[in-house]
Amino acid sequence: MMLRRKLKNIKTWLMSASLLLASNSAVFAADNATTLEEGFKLGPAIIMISMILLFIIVGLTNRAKDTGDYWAAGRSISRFGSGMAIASNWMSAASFLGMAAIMYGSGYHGLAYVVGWTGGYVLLLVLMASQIRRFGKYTAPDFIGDRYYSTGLRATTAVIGILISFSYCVGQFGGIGIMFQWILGVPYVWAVIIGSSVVLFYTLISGMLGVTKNQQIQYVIIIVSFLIPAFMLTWKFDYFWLLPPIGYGQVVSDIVAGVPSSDFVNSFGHKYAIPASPEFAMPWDPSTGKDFFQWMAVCFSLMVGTAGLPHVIQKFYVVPKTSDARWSVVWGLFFICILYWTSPLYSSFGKILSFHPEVGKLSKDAIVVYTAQLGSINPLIVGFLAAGAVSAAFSTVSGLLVAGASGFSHDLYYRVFNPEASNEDQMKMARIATIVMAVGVGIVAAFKLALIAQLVAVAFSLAGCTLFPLFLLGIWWSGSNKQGAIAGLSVGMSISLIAITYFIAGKFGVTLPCSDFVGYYINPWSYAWIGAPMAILANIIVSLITPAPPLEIKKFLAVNVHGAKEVG
Amino acid sequence: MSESQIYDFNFFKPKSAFAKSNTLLTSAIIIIWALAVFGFHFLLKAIEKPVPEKQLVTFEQVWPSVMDKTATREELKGLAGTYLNLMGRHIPLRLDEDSDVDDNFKLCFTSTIYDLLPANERLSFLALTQKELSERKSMTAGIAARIGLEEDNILTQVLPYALVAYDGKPVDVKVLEAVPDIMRKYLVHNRSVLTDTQFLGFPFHYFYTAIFLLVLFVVLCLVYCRIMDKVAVKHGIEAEEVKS
Repeated sequence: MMLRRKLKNIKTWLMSASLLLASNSAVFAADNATTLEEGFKLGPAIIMISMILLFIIVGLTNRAKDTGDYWAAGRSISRFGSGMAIASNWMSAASFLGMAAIMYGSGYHGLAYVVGWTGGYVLLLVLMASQIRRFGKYTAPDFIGDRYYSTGLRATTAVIGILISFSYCVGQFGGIGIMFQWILGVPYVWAVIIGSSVVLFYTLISGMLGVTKNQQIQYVIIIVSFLIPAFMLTWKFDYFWLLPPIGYGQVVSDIVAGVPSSDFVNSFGHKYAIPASPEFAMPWDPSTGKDFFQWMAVCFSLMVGTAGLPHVIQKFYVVPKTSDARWSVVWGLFFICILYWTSPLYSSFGKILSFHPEVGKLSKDAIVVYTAQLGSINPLIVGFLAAGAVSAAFSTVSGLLVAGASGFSHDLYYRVFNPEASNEDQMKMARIATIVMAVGVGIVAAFKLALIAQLVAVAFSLAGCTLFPLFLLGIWWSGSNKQGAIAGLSVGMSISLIAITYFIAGKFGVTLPCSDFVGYYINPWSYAWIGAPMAILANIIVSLITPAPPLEIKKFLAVNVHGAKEVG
Repeated sequence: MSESQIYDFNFFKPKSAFAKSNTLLTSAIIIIWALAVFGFHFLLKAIEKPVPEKQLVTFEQVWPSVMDKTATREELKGLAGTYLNLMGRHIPLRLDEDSDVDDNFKLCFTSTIYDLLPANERLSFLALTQKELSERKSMTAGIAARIGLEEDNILTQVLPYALVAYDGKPVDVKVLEAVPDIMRKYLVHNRSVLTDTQFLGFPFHYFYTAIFLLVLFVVLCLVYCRIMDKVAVKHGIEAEEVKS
């Protein structure tokens, strides 16, 4: 009896699965590009909903018990686990979707993002990771407030941290919106509202501990969902499939030389072919509108920004030992690189598979998913890929919301306005801040101001101009004092303000004086190339002409951070 | 020396043995990192040369006679092929960020086809350009043959999409004058031995940036951590943490 019931269940399940596949195949068999974008996709929707339920269950079972858990996961995460959490926290919609989008549209220029977002980890490791852990503070404003003995700087950097998390989050919500739109077939604005509500819900109930545990699961989902279609594409189109990040090299060369004809076809039945298109791979090609200076400026800005991002730095507080802080960066970077090595594969295949004019103009931000669709990858696997994109955005958003909320609740409310606040009060404020921030980000994301990766790049430039110089000099030069920090921060903020004002004015069709000059040299994606050195210079000059920092600060830095022996 | 001076710390003048080892290692890693990323790209920039594609060479040869209205049918064929090749790359054509010139470019292409057709085929061609895309698709095989495209050439698939509604009047001179700039923008590429050498299937510079640099970053971080762990133990830094 039991056996018969079990067999019946299996049969029902198989029938449902075949119906699922059939319904998806129908969607994918349509004959124009619009179908790549529109319609409710049942299989991907089920995969995504299951995945989100998993996140919520993990969040609930690892709930934050107090502020220590909420902000720093109780300092109980291993270096390997922390590396995974760093990678997952880092690999956002910008990494999953945005990089391939830029490479698809601007060729070699997109590699500035790949190199900038990974090379920054070298700086982060050698200049900051272990030093910050040895300094022993919870958050970035904690470090700056104590190192520069200034409540004002603590409050200002807390606000900057919130702004950075905010603009970074806007890009992520944009990515969530695009993927929810693709999966659910609902308008973009609704997709943003639904997606942000879900991520807000589980961030609120779990905090950093739940988030950190979730981020380890999310890493596995992100990387598996990203690699499976990569293996399938290289195998299907007869490239070296055993190692897709190497196998796609020939695809790049094929685009440069052209593929006159072949036996392969895309999902619309168009031949796998493309005229010679050297602009895809040649450096700073004139056709992309990006030059050598812009490549270098973007790359440098992303690197210094990486080393100054509060939600990344905050991860060093969640490991038990300083050595773990260092090793978690190595693991984190390796895990990140697995995705970054593979990302150009999607833009390369996407370039050839979307060559035929009938495919139409595709949204660049979703090119990863479209490439898999055009390559006739099984719809459920494409759905898993889209769920991976959602997972990437979720993991980053949750980390950002925690960082933003802790900036408000811990650094502003508790440390500046109400030092008597109880743990319960702080948790309450953190939750209110998370809600306010999520709602604000959702509203801004609905405007769709730029490509995901570009929106995120703004956050990097802001961090590179403001927080990076404070950390760099704060750690490596005991002569840097409060006045110098204020001067450096003012310079960094002024340059940021100019860049962002011109960007927003441009988006609303207002032309400000010297807009060509500012748009080229101080553009929002890369202004840290000049902003960071200027802020460092201002900090040094003012520190040299004003009184040195107090003895206890110098002593703490020399002894606790740099291992000097205590005198007397 | 005052107590304050004893505790002075400067990256370039470390005092303790641990700080000296730490800053030396940090400097070495940063120098390798900077040379590998920025040094390579300066080199790439220094040795590159702007190399025109063969389509641009053809274009430069025939364009003066096109403007003089003395172009032969063969020259017009070459020009049409160049137009079509560029449109076949599926990239938006822009002279600057705000000026989309796709439609003007299609107009130039359509008028070139018109000019190279025999007089008795021109009227039917004008009618064809007015038709919907779906109708046009099945009627462009003859035109493909006129411009020398073989049936299996992938650009024949682009042809129906590259035509716009045309009335047979000469194209505005301003539109024509912009064509050489577009051609030079899209058909000249920065190339050198680093871009033209292949490695594991990649153009070498692409492999270096997309694959090798990331490997190098991981290796640099790994080396730093291994050495720092030893340095920390040697100088008794982080010893309490290790015990715990």
